[in-house]
Amino acid sequence: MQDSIVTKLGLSRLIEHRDDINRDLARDGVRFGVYKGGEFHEQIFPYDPIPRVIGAQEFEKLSAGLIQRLRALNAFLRDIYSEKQIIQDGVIPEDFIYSSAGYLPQVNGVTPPGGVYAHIAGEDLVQATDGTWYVLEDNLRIPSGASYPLIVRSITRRVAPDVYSRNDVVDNRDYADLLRSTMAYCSCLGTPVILTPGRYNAAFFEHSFLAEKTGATLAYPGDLAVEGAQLYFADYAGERHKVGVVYRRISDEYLDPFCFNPDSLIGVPNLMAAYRAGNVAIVNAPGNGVADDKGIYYFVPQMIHYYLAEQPLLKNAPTYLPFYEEDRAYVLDHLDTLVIKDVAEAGGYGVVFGSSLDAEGLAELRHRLEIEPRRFIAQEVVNFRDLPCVDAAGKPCRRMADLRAFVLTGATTRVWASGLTRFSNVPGSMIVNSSQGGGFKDTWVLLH
Amino acid sequence: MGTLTLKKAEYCLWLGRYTERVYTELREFFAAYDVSLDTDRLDFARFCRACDIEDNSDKKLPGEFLYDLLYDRNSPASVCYAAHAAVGNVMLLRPELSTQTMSYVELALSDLRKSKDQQLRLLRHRSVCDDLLAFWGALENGEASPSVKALVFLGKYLERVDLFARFEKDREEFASPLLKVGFYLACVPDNEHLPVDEWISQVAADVEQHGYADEARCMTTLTARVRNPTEGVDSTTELSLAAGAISCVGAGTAPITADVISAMRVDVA
Repeated sequence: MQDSIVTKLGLSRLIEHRDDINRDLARDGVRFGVYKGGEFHEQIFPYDPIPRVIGAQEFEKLSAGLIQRLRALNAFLRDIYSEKQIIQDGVIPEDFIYSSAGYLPQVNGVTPPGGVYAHIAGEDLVQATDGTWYVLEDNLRIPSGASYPLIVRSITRRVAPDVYSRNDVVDNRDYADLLRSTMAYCSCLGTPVILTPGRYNAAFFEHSFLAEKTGATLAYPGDLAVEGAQLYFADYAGERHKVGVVYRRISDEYLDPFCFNPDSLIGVPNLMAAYRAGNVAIVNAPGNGVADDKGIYYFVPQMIHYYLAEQPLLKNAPTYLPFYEEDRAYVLDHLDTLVIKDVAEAGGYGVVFGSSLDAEGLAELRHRLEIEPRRFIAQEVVNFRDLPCVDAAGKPCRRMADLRAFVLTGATTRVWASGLTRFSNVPGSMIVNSSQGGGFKDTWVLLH
Repeated sequence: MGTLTLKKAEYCLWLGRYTERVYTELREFFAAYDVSLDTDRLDFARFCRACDIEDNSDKKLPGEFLYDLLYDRNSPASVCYAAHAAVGNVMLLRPELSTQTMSYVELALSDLRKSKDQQLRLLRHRSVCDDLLAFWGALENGEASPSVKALVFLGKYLERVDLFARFEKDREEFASPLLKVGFYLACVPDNEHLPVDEWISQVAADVEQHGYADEARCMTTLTARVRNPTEGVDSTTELSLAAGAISCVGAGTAPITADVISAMRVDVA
């Protein structure tokens, strides 16, 4: 089967030159950081030359579902930081809002410039063996990963120049334009800035690369200052440049030490005052964490009914909330077949497959679910499609893979015609996160 | 200077310094090694003096000593350390330099890592130097702002002056890098807002400590003249004055003429 894909798409040159492509990626400084044992290490994110291919019709359907989902999530954020009607109408229990670490009372009543909360969403999906797409997570805070398929395409187009036109692949190099226009839409007139915590952040490559490609200024902690509720960037001559929009790659809790974590050394004092005054846009809006909480994920289909009066076009993975007595009973009875996720964790951490636990492990997990039901969700294991890959020795193999699709909202909501396909480097494993040793593939969307 | 912060200005300066350090140290290493092929003796003491390291060559095999000098990641005196530091600075400047330009510094580190094989070492070192030459060329040729270009090259030539003193070069060899220090400093817009005095005085002190008091004085004089030009005197004239000052250093130095200055001018606009 793999041979037929390679032949049909004409991938032999990409496969033959995989090591050259990975070397070029290293040369371009494409890497990500991980902390192991308290130490920072930088790693190459291995590239696999066989792309995920999504046909035009399939992408259209997928896009429609993702756009619908983001419309609902943005409506939810608008509501939850204003009227909170969805709670009053009993669609979502208030416990799930107020106990969420992502809910920030500090932004209650604040409408972001342009009215958009989730400007850049990273939607994690898997495709089941029957072809059905399931949304696994909505990442509405600082989703990363778009830069990898973006930069690799610029390299592979040199290695196999004819392969993209021959296969009618949509050019994905418009991501910087999409991002630039998304930032411009909500900008409060001023220079655009990408705020990074610095080179020891796991995604620093992406921060610097997107700054280069969008023409935004890459700002480090200390480069920005608020004066008179305006945000400024000061150059070395002391000239101040008004900042209109900040694409922040810093978590909410570290954004402003005067508003959130007072110990933060990487935030901008009084940034939230400038934001509340409507003088600067923050991409994504602070407080979005309440909508990408793993517990809130359960309610997204209800949000679509509630806010849009539409049927969800995309499915959630079948999910149970131990918070509900009925669900908890089911989960405790089927623990050995479910996957349990700690809502406070991310990056593939805090994910436990019941089938991997012995009797003692199951008993311990059962106990934790009983005493902290709000902390966990349980999902049926989706048998998602594995994809053809080339292993380290150059031999064909198959690996589990997901897709992070990027949905950008400015004047309109658009799905980037590409995405990050991450695969596990362990045969049969469903943990595909880069921090867990996985690699990535380009994602091709076809024109026809 | 666009949106270049003081911090980024310092990254530029140190990028210039570290890339030059890799380049010049490798060249000095090769020159010394080349001599040793005929004399069967490598002047370890000179390297130790140059790099401010303890001369323990009698306690190590020559191969080990050389390996550490080239590849000891933890020794600030090693070429490898400087290459890592260059990458550490260049990665912070991707938007200012472009991925293409910065990639040459990454490539230099990658080629240095590949040069550990003793049989291929000298050949691979040449690739490292080529990568750095390509980096400087790409920077000059690219679309980085004049401030970024001037700061990187200012750092580069400051480091060269420093290393020339450390490697005990002939006095006449200082004229060219000293003049370039002045030239690139003059090209940094609003340089009065930068801690230039601190940058220059550190190197000048080092140069003086290694026995080049005249060159150190010339560097500070030149800097002062570039930074405080007489009213109505343009920087070209200032450079002529600087060139005159340099030409006075050391007997036997050929005077640097306006033609030479003109030939050395690099379009950083």
